[in-house]
Amino acid sequence: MMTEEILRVENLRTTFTTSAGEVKAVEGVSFTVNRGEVLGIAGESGSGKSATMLSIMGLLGDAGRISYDSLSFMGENLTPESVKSIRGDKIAMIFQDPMTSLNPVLSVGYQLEEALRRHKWQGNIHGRVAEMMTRVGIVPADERMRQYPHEFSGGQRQRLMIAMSILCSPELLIADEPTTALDVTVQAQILGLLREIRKDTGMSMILITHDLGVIAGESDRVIVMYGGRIMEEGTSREIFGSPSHPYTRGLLHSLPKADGKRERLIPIEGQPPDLLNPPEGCPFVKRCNEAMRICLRRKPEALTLSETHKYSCWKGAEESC
Amino acid sequence: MLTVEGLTKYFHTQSGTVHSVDGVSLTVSRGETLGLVGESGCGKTTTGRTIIRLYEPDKGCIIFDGHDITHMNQRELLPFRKRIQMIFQDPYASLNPRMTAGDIIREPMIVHHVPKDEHTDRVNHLLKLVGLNTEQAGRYPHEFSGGQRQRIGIARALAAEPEMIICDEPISALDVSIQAQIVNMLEDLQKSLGLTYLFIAHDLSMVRHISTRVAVMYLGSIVEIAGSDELYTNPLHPYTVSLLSSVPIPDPEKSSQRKIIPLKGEIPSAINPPSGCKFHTRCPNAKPECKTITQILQDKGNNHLCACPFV
Amino acid sequence: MYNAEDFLSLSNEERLTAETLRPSKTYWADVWSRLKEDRLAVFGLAVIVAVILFAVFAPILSRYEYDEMDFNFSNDPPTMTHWFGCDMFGRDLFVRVAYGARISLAVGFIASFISLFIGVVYGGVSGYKGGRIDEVLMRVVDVIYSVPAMIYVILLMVVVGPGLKSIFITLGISYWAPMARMVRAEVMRIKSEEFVIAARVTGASPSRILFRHIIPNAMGAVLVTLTFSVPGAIFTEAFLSFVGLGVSAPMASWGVLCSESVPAMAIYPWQLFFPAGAISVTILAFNFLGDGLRDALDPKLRK
Repeated sequence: MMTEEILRVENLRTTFTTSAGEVKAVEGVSFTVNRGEVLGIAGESGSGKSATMLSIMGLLGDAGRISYDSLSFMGENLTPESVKSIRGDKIAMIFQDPMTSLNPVLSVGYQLEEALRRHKWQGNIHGRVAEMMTRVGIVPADERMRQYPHEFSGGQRQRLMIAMSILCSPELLIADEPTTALDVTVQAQILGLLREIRKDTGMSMILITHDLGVIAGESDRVIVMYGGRIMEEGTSREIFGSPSHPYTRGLLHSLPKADGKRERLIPIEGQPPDLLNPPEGCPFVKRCNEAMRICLRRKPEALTLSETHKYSCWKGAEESC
Repeated sequence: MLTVEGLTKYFHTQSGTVHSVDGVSLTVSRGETLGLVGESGCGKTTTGRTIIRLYEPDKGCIIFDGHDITHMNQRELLPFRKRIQMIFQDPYASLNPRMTAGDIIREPMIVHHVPKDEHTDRVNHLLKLVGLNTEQAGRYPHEFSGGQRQRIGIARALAAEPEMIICDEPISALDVSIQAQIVNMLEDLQKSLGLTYLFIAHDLSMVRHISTRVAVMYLGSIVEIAGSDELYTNPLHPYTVSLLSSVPIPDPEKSSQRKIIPLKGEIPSAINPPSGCKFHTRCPNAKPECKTITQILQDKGNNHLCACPFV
Repeated sequence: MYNAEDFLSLSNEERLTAETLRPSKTYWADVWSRLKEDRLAVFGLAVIVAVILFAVFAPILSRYEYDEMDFNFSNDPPTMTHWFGCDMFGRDLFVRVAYGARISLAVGFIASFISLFIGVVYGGVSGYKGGRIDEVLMRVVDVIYSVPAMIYVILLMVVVGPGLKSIFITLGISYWAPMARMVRAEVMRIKSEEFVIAARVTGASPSRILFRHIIPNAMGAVLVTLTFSVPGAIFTEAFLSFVGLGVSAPMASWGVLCSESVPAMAIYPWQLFFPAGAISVTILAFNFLGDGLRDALDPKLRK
């Protein structure tokens, strides 16, 4: 299969100005998304995974400033103006909390129809909305379109958001912690639904989550972020089969064994990164049990293990110097 | 150590009576960890809070170390407050933002009349025990990270020198890399202080790791209890089977081989729970008689109790 | 390019130096640092301090007394000797406005503190006890609310009789209702927070929970309400004095000064301008400060 690149991000930087000082939320992040693939972005709180996506979508608000070397979607450069017309049309997003994206005083049918009108949909608007609601399993669609958001359960609201996001047949769906607020059985339903939709439409997906289990089950390729930087990137098998960055290894070791062997967990010591006072070198240095002196002072370059597998760590660079 | 028999707690709201906890029976032996799992709204938190008498139980009894504490008033309860403590889910909400870490840990000592001259030594000892610096006693909760706050919460629970701790989702608000720190610490404390845990959580893999036995709750009732490994390798109740199959595995190979047994729909409202077996509306092998049977835990051998009569 | 030293493992000491500790900051220090950022609030605070200093020192330092009449200067416009001019009896308006500031500020603060005390206790009990007691206590507040405050202040004044002391009493006992409602809502919210549940699990007594956990966490909102209630009381006092129910001449509150100057306001406008200006500036300053405080206490609200 020919891989066709649909999103390219190069050297993205995002800074927030807060009352306590400058926060570098994203520091030089580059990646691509190919047609039809699922890119998983794993990271804990403060890793910059959500800030990366909001920066690309131009949804940061006034407090954030971004810079990049290149940002293109399907061969065209994205500017803050052009992204507005693409957002919700060719690139759609779903979030952790569907309630914040739904207006509580309007019927869901009206809101979905509005979304279509905004993107100048040609054809039967009502029919399209009913079709998509049926597609995500909210039936009978005609009746439920007249209901209000509070009449839906958490899982159904997330289904609604998915219906809204696929109204315009997007090329790329960005899902930011789409199942974090849901129970595991409902999570399995939602992930299954997204999988079916991808199979039918061939759309690509960026899946942002802290849940490594979800990432492992859904992603083709995985990016692991920490402190605003990409620590490791590779195919799902590479990341989970032969994790190379001490942080990735640490994350996997802190999970209980899947086979139920009751071995003691090996946690990553220390506290999450302090974004206000990042270390000069590697953001992970304070918690890394393999840290060296140079890690304090200089940021490591990316090392290539295979065409798809890269990681940023001085431990591997040591031999080559 | 703890026996709960037929515990029932209803909440009366404007939209109707919420059957939060409906006839829960369980026992926790000294030194063990009983995991209590279930999805949101299944009543696991209410169960924990009713056991510790934050809510008045409607029916049933709670027996702690041979004493019936079901209907004790607050004064009679005070000695038991010392012996059963609680750790909370939200490390941000569970610490008073206007008190320093030291004052928070000191409070149980004041309440239980520990001599004043011992306070500082004990606070320092507890801080070290949970992996914090004694210099941090003067700091306020907002100056700590989530994991550190959870450590303060644990130190507060330990300050009363309890025998049993009800852990109400103690790790679900924490980052993955921090969760393991807290779980290891809880295990170490259990060993060194001989603590008994009731560990309430929805993260099934962590519960398996930490628990000796596990109880699965659905809509206010326990549907299955068994030894931890027994439950995870040989789940009997259709709900447990489906629940376990839905847990994501952080391994792409295993994940692709495994078959998820999906459940229909979502958990029904606890205001009008289904009749008979409450799970029959979503059960993949529901039979007509499931609508009328009464849910009773039956021993299926190997100390494996299950509420489904058809397995 | 690289030394072999660079690749030595980090020792524990080096790891520790990498750990940065920010200086400890209490909650109120944090609020203050945020408040300082807010220019309007700082301006409001500065004006309030200036008005207080003016009220305290101007009458002491001035060579005129507030009730000292000199008909040679009757209705004089502002001059170098009489900065704000004089009234019809030739009393120095600068001193009288300063003296009025004493009375107005005292009324504002004391009435607010009386309402603070009643409101916090009443609302605290109502919110903490809940149930039937809450129901009854809040219906009483509803009744107080249902009568327009002014009517009932006037009625009280008529019964108690005009004068400074009765203004304190009437304002104090009529201004606590909003405070009580606010405190009750705060207490209800904080009561269900996990740290209060944690205190109950510990076995802490209700009074300890109320005074150690709930009230300190409600103080922020109380302070904001207090800041907004001071100008309300000042304004009500001015209004009462204006219609003749407050303090009476030769005592000078801002309301009295305005009231005296109105008949001749077309001819001697400065006689109205200075006291009316003082009322407006003070009330505005308190509102700026209150807004700033509210934002500083709840940073989430600002965006």
